[in-house]
Amino acid sequence: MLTRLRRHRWAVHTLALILFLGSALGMFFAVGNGTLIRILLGTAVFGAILALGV
Amino acid sequence: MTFFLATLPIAVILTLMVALRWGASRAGAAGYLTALALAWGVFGLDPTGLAYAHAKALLLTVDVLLIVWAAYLLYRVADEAGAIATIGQMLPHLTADRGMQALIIGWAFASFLQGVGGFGVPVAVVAPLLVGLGFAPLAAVVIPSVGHAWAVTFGSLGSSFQALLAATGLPGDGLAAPAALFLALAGVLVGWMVLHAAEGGAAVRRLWLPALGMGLAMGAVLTLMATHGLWNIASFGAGLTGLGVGLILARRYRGASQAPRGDLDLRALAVALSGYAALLLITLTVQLVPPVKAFLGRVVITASFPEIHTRLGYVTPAGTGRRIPLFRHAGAILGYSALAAYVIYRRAGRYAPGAAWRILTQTARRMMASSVGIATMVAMAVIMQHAGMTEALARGLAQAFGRAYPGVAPWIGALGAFMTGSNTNSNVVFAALQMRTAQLLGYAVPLILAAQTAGGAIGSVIAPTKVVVGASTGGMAGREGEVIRSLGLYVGLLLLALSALTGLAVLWIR
Repeated sequence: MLTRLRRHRWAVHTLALILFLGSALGMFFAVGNGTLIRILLGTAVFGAILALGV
Repeated sequence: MTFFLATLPIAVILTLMVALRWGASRAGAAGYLTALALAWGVFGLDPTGLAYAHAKALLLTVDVLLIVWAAYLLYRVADEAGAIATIGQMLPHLTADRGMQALIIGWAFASFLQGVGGFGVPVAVVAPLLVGLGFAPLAAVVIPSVGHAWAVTFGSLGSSFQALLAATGLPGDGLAAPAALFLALAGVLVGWMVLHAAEGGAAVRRLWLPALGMGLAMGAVLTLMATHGLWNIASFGAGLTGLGVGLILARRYRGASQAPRGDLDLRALAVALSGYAALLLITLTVQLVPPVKAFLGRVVITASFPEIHTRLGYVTPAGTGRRIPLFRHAGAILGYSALAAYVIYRRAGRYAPGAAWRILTQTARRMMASSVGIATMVAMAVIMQHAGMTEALARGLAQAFGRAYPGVAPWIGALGAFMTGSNTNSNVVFAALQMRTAQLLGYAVPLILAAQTAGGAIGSVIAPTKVVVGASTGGMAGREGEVIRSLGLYVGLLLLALSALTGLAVLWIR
């Protein structure tokens, strides 16, 4: 799985960046909604884990 | 205990990048996850505070990425047209001495670019030029990184110094002189370090005198301009002076062994340089012509943020996040320059079919991993700042060193710059703390603040976010750890010199 991901490193980095920056933008507008903030934090963490993996 | 925990994210990044040789994107992600877990679980920054920290980090990231992408785009535009190769063939006609080449391009030109450009631009632009001249990629990244360090505070049209004034509320008159003097003296050492990075001790022994001449000339201009109210263009003037002195000295130090054959094609050279001339012209026009500056500065991206509290009682005051004047931004200026350069090269018939597509796709492919590294590290730094981890680090250092504080002050500035990738941010974060500590310990505030900003300037060049920029354009992507190891020696020596200088100055003033 990891090897297959690494073969598409550029695509994974692009996805990770979109998830990370997109969730950061979302968090600004989600202030006041605790559940949504937690979901977006989880998305940012997922983006970071993707980057960590490749 | 909080001090130890606050060091963890930095320790994780340093260990992964320097010891295990991970790339910035993976190490940055690990540092970010560590900072996030500690901020939430230990330092008590709640999800709302984390959300604001992420939003502020987004503004900072966009601020940085605009420059990184545009700088590499400009490089690709020039490289695809063969301009880098042409400039590379030109310099040996001026001087074949690689040490002199490093001094002129890696020191004076990089300092000049820092004067007019900003975050990472000197390294992003100069590193590929040096690679084109035949320098090893590691040296090509290290030389401009060290070379522009002394020009950072009064560079970017004075933005870091402006941040120092804003954070302390002190007038520029009293702070400019010690800051300029500290940086000017560091500048002379920087010249010798550039020689060492280029060709080792032999180059230092051979060219110490011209380097000293260039350093004294640049330092004198920097100090004179900064102390006469021109601190916003002091690095620009100093870099320009260095270029002038360097070109004169190059006639004397031509390098005997490999005189180039054949005539210099001046038209080809003029076309090749036109891309960088466009950068210079557009930068000066945008920054120094008030109507143009005002017109392009109309669209500003920013956001207001409320006061943020942690469970442990650390408070981040309310305020606006990073202001991004979209069309006057350094990245936008680089973008205009890239477009202008593309038109010039295209009209000169320098492009093969499909050049535009190759330029764009290669830029995107090269920059993506670096962008992930920058985004995660900026987020890590901002989260640490809002969780009170940065404050805990600084206070721990101050308490640990007590009366030796003047010697530590530059290192705190460097720490802030290392974490945030910016002398400006370091001044914003630490200047008030340094001022207060100096007052409590009875030291001259201007000297401690000069040490703060000079340390921040030097420390910024080794910041992972900045190293990634240089590594990505200089052919060292994925090998950022090697760059940090190599830069660490020079940065450490410069900070030690600043420590000694600050200690002596404090004793002298007393």
